[in-house]
Amino acid sequence: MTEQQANSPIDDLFRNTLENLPDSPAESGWDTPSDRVWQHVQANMAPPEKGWGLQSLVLLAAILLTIGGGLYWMFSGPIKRTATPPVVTPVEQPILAPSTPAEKDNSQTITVPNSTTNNSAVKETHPKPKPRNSTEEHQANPGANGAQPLPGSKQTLPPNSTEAQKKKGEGN
Amino acid sequence: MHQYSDQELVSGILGGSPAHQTALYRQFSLPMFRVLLRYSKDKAEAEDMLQDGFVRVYRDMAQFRGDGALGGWIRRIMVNTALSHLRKQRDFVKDVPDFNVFESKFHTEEDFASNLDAQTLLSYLQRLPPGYRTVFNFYAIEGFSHEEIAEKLGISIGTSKSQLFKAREFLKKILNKSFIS
Repeated sequence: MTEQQANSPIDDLFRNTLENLPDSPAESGWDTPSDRVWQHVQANMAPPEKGWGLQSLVLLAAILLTIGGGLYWMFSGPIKRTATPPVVTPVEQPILAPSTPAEKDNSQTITVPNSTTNNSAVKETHPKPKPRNSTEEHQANPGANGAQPLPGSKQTLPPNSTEAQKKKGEGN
Repeated sequence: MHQYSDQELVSGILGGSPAHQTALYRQFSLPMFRVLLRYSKDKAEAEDMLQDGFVRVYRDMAQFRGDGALGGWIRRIMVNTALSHLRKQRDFVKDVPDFNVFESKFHTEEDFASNLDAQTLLSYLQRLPPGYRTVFNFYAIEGFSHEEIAEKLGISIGTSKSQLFKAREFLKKILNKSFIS
């Protein structure tokens, strides 16, 4: 609209016809919008929710729960882990000489293992007796020293003090 | 129906009065819909533009300063809304070299035998490609210059002139055919 426009007759025809329409809508309804337009406009003009909306409350609750959980985790100390129960060594109680027959009968059941300990724990508390000599040690755990007999070789055990004592006894 | 003044409508709408909202729509929906029909390809598209335009009007009512007529302010919002719709179309301002308005759009003799009333002229305008239609609307009816059109549409001045020329040529062909019939 800043310069003198060179309008053609076709411009004038369209402008004069389309800009000078009667105030009332056409009977055929070609220039009347449908009712759905106003319904959609009204739907888009819904007033904002007053106060706290439901979404705001849910979001606030989620934030508070997250913060509260984090603070509880930080200040409640380390988490106690449920590890395997500690091995309780049963205390060997001294066997007392029964003074009465009733006590004599009860003395047979004097070592009752703790209910919290299992059999394996009890077994661990009673180590195997050590072998008294190298022969017994070899019989108990053959090949423990890494020395393997050669195939076909005659296996000779080294003399030990027990055999020496036996021979000595026979000699006597 | 009670006719409110511009100031009454504005203050009522800003106060959240449903009665004033309804009155504004009843007062301006018809002329604005007629404007939007010229920018759209059919009635359904014009209704979508009208809906979005009125939502903008109610939303931006506080920006109306009252230094002009309320109708003119609403009309500018409606035209800008139509432009927003048209810009969503891919390459809406482009040359259509093989566009034949007769072969592609007019199929019956009744199309040419009708009188040149507003509805008929509007139907001719709506059958143009969107770029031709928009430039013709801006130049011939709204009265914008090519510089203003180029700025509004983001095109060159030469493109604006070219689109106007081709729009006129197509409309002349339609009208000549109509007069002959």
